[in-house]
Amino acid sequence: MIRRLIGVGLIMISVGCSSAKDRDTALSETVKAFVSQFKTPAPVDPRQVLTRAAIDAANIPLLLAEIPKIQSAGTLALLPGQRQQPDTWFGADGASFTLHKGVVVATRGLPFDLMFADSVPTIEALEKGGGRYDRTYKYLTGDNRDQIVTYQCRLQFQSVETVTIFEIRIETKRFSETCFNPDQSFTNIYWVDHAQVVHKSQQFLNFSLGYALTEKLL
Amino acid sequence: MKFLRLARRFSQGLVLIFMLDTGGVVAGVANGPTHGLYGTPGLIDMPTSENAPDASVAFSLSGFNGQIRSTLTFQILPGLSGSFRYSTLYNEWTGDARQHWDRSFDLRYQVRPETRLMPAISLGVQDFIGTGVFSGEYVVGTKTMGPLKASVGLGWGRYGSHNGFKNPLSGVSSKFDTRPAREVGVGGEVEANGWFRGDAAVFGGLSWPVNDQLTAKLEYSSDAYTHETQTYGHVVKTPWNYGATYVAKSGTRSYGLYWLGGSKLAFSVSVIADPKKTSNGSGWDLAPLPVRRDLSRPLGLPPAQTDVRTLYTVLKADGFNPVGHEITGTTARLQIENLRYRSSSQAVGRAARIASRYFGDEITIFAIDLVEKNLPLTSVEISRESLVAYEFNLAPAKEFMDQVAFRDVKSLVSAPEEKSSFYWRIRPYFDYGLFDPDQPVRFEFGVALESEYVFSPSSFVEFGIHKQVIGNLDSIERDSDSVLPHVRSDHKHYHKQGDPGLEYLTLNYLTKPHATGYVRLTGGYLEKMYAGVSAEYLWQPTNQNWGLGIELNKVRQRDFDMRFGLRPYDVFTGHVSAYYDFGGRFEGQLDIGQYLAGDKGVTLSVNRVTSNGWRFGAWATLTDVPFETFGEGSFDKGLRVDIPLDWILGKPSPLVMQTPIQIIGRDGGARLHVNHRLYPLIQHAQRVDMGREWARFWR
Repeated sequence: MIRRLIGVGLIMISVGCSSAKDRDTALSETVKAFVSQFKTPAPVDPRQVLTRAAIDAANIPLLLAEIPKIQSAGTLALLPGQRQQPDTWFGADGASFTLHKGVVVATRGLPFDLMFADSVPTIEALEKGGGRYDRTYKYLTGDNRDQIVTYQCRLQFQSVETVTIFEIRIETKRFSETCFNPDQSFTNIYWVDHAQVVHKSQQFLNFSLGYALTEKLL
Repeated sequence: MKFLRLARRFSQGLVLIFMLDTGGVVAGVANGPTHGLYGTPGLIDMPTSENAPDASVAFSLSGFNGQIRSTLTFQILPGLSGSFRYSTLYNEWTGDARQHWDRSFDLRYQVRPETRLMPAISLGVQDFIGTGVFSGEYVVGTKTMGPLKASVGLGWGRYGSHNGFKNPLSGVSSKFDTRPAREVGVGGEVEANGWFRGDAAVFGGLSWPVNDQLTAKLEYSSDAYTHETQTYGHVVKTPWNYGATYVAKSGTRSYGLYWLGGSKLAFSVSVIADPKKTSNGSGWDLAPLPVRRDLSRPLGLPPAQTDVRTLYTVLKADGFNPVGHEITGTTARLQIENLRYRSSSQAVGRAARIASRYFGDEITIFAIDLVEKNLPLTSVEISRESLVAYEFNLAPAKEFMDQVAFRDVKSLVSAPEEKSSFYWRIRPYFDYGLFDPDQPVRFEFGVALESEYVFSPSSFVEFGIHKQVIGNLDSIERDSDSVLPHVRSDHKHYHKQGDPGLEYLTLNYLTKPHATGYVRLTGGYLEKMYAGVSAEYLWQPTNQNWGLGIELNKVRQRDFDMRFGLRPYDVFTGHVSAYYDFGGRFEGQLDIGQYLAGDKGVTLSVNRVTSNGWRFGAWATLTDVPFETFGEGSFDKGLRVDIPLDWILGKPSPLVMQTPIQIIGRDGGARLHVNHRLYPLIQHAQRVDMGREWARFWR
């Protein structure tokens, strides 16, 4: 920690001899950004504080999203004016998830964002009750280039399951989507009701973040 | 005492290492080659044919028996690397006073990469400029065999000094038989006539990864250390060297410990940074607002109206200064100053999405104009239709860029709201001086007071005062021996007498006379050492990957106390400049003109650029001053490393850490420093520069 402080401290100072696009805010914002790394509040687990009564009282569409690998979780609200799919959900921490009929198509505000994943093959297969298809994911590399990764996927019906989302029980069909390419593989799981609404899911983002778990709260 | 002195020098090197490393936030190079005592990918003292990742930078410090080498190695291209080394050859432990400071340069090129059956083969020239104490050439092949890496090479010069035999190239020409002594003069010139000449010798070795971190190394060295043996009694008992390299888990640091020549312990510390990788991925920047896509409204709902108030509020919250807007038919022009994002592509992307939400449904085209110092730089025109189509889309960034029009723009749509404004700040500053033989690294920390008063959209007055707090830049002893006018070499007097010192006090005028042209007029105390007037014009259409500029200055040297007095020396200096952006990995600049000492010549600068804002470059200036008159090093040259702060922190920041390394800087080929030079001010908003990282538009 000390060494980290010394190192970044030196950089802060040497920033003095560098170019700034603005007049007087960049340095202070950078210092703030740096300091905030050390006083990040302990993460609050929404499962511990959220209740069905609170969800109903909010009376707006809400999504619970968790990324276990980085111990991140939050309730996300649907941004207004989004009557067309895909819809984008915002969390209080400044991250967003974009879903197309419940299938994650993009994230923003995470350190390793999913720039886009095509959702149409999955949605079609969910409607048909299964299938084989290709899915393509797009990422942004550390040097700001597109990285496109394609997987061969297979969607299979697994079982009929009753899921409970904050006291509400929903009859669903559980589907697994197994995707692989020569380098890597992952498995997504969708819990879908009779009207093709995805109520709960486990969906792969990337190898840095792992899976996102989603639950449709309202 | 001697040990302490050496330790202090070593610690100065460590400060540099810390600056590059910042304690593990930089992204390292996992499973990459390790660096040897010369700071290049290699075994211990012998090179291999391995490459570091493209565009990666390594800073190494190594030493044994009084010799310290500090080396900066840059992977210029996937197969081409260049190194700059500053070394001392001095036997401090035994007290031999033959001290020698040396700057050396290497190039290494991988002729062919490794295949399943054949080894990678590289060709290298080491210390090819100047006195050549480390000079040697080699051809080396490296083959991976299971976990083992085996290298065998043929060396000349230093690498041909142990067990040498008749040069195999003698068959081509008898001139390869003998290696001529270098006629170095004052050093600094490329000495190619001795390359691959004289005796040759075979070297080789093995490296074996014990685990992910530790690599054991064994080599047979073809370097007899003739120079060291003769000058200060270095002892080489055996050509076999062995030891191990430990790479820290982050991959950013490595440490080597070796037994050299059967008689001396050698160590090395390296910091490696790979600009293309970050430990923060695409960055912790907050999620942008998405594009508004609900244009087909249910019956009875009115279309969305333009909401300027919310538009400006949201822009401010996202790090923009909204300068103005204008609606013409179905086009909305939005002029913004980007205060938060280094990447102009990202800034335009975020502003365009915000615009899509708060301009009314009737607007089909958004023109986002980037503004800097009240100069509109570039207008990026995007249709609402393509924003909707490409926001969540697999199409490559280039395809989306083709849907976008970049246009030149002449003026602001409305005068800035504030007629005048005053800014000030107090900030720490850091200054450094390199390569003084008495003290190779000097530094200064201090406090800077800076202020700016803007009294019209194009005009402002600014000043900066520096007060040293701690440092040793003011303890330079060495007097200038330059026979040219002392236009830069009296810098020690400015450090000694100018504390506190007025760094600059200028009246500035910036304007655009036409859509593709920029003008800067500056007058006053321009920099530490010069006062006068400076005028610059730059022609740079945004869709063109080259620009032309001219700068004319009439200046007089300032008093050493850095107050208001002037010295008798005055000069006319100016340049015609051509800027060329190759669009991919390189950009270049050529300046032709008259320098501060009245000498006439050219400066060529070439930078390797990454698409996340790193720049690693080199420059050289050749003027009509003869090398002998110029003095040590023959001509002005240097390196630059620009590291964007957002890359280090993983948070948005417009700042870029700029570190020029003036390898040779005397009075010949010296240029005036002046704030707000036009090309650096506008470059980030040109189409070719934004195109480099267009994929970041959607971040």
